[in-house]
Amino acid sequence: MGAIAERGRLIPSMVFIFLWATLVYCPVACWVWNINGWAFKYGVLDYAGGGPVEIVSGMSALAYSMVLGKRQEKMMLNFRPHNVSLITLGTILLWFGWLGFNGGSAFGANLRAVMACWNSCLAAMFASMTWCLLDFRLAKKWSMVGWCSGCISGLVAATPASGFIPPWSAIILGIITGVICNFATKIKFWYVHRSSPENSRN
Amino acid sequence: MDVFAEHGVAGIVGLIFNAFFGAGYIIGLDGVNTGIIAGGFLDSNFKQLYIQIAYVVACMAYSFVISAILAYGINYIPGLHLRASEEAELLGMDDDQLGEFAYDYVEVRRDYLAWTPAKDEPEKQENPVEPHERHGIQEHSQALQGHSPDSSSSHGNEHTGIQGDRHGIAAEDQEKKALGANGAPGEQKWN
Repeated sequence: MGAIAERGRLIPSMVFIFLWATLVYCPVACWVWNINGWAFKYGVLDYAGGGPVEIVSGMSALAYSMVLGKRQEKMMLNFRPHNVSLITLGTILLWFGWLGFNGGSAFGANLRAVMACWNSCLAAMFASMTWCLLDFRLAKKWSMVGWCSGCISGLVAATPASGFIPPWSAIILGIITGVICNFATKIKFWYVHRSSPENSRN
Repeated sequence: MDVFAEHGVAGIVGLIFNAFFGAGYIIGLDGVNTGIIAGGFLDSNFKQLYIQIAYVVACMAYSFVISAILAYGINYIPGLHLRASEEAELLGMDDDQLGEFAYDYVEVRRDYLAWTPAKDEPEKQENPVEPHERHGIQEHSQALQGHSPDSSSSHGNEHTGIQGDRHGIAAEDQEKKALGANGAPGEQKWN
C-alpha cells in the first residue's frame, strides 16, 4: 500500500495486510457477493468490487496513514515522481490487468464480459482526458502523470459499474469521475497532517 | 491521501452511477441474469439510489473504523510499531528496510566505479560507505550525525563537479534569501 511510503516499516505492514484482508476485506466482500450477505439481499448493485475493493482500500489507506502520521517536511527537499516512464508503464500494466478483472467478473466469455471491458476502456479514456484538461487549466501543460491518475480513477469508477451500465453512460461516468477525483485530490490539503505521495497505489 | 481521492471517491462515483444508469439489458447480456436483476433509473427502479448510498456509507464506515483499530493495535505491539525511525526516514526506506536501491542514480555520493564484476568477498574489496555519508544533501548527513548544520561555512550547494542541479538550487536559494522566504539555507533548524 502506498500509504506507508517512505516512512513505514515493512514487517508490521505485512501483519496489518494479513489482518486487514481477513477482518476488513473479506466481510465486506461477503456482504455484497454472498447470497446470504445483507447487501446482496438488499439489492445492491456492485459489479466487480466498488465497495470491497475500492472504497475499502481508499478508507483503509486513509486510516493507516492517519496512524502513521505525516512525513517530515524538512526531509522532502526533492519530492516528486522518480520516473514518469515507470509511472506510465505501471498504469498501462494496470489497465491491461483491469480488463481481466472487470471482464472476468462476468464469470464467462459472454457479451457482458465484452461490454464490461468496453465500458472500462471508455471510462478510463474519458477520465484521463478530463483529468488532463483540468490539469492543463492550471499548468498550461499536458501532464503525463495527470493522464495516469485520470486513467486509474476512470478504471476504478468502472469497476462497480462496468457490468451494469450502457456504453454511452460509461462516457459520462468517465468525465464525471475525472472531474470529481481531480478535485478530491485537494482534500488532502484539508488534513495537512496526513500525507501519501502522489500516485500511491493500493 | 491520493489513494482515497482516486480509489475511494471513484468507487463511490461508480456505485452511485449504478443507481442512475444501471440497465437490465446490459446485465442480461451474460445470459444468466436475464430479467432477474433490475437496473437503476433507466429501468425506472428509483429506490436503487438509496440502496447504493446506504451500501457506500456502510462500506466506508466499516473499513475506516476496523482499519484504524487494526493499525493502532499493531502499532502498540512491541516490535511492530508501524513507523520507521527518523534516521531511517532520512536515509529512505530502500536503504533501511531493503538494503537495495531502486533509484541509484539519484544518490550522488555512491561509488559508481565499484560496479565491476566481483573478484572477492564484498567485505574485502569494497569500501563501506557510512550511513551518514550516503546523502547528497549535507544537512541530512549532519542531522544524522546529531549536530546542527554549520550554516556559516557550507550548506552543501557548492560546485563539486559531480552534481547536476547545484547551480539551479544555489540560484534559487539566493532568490529566496532576497525575498526573505522560509526555507532559505541558514534558517533551517535541526533538532
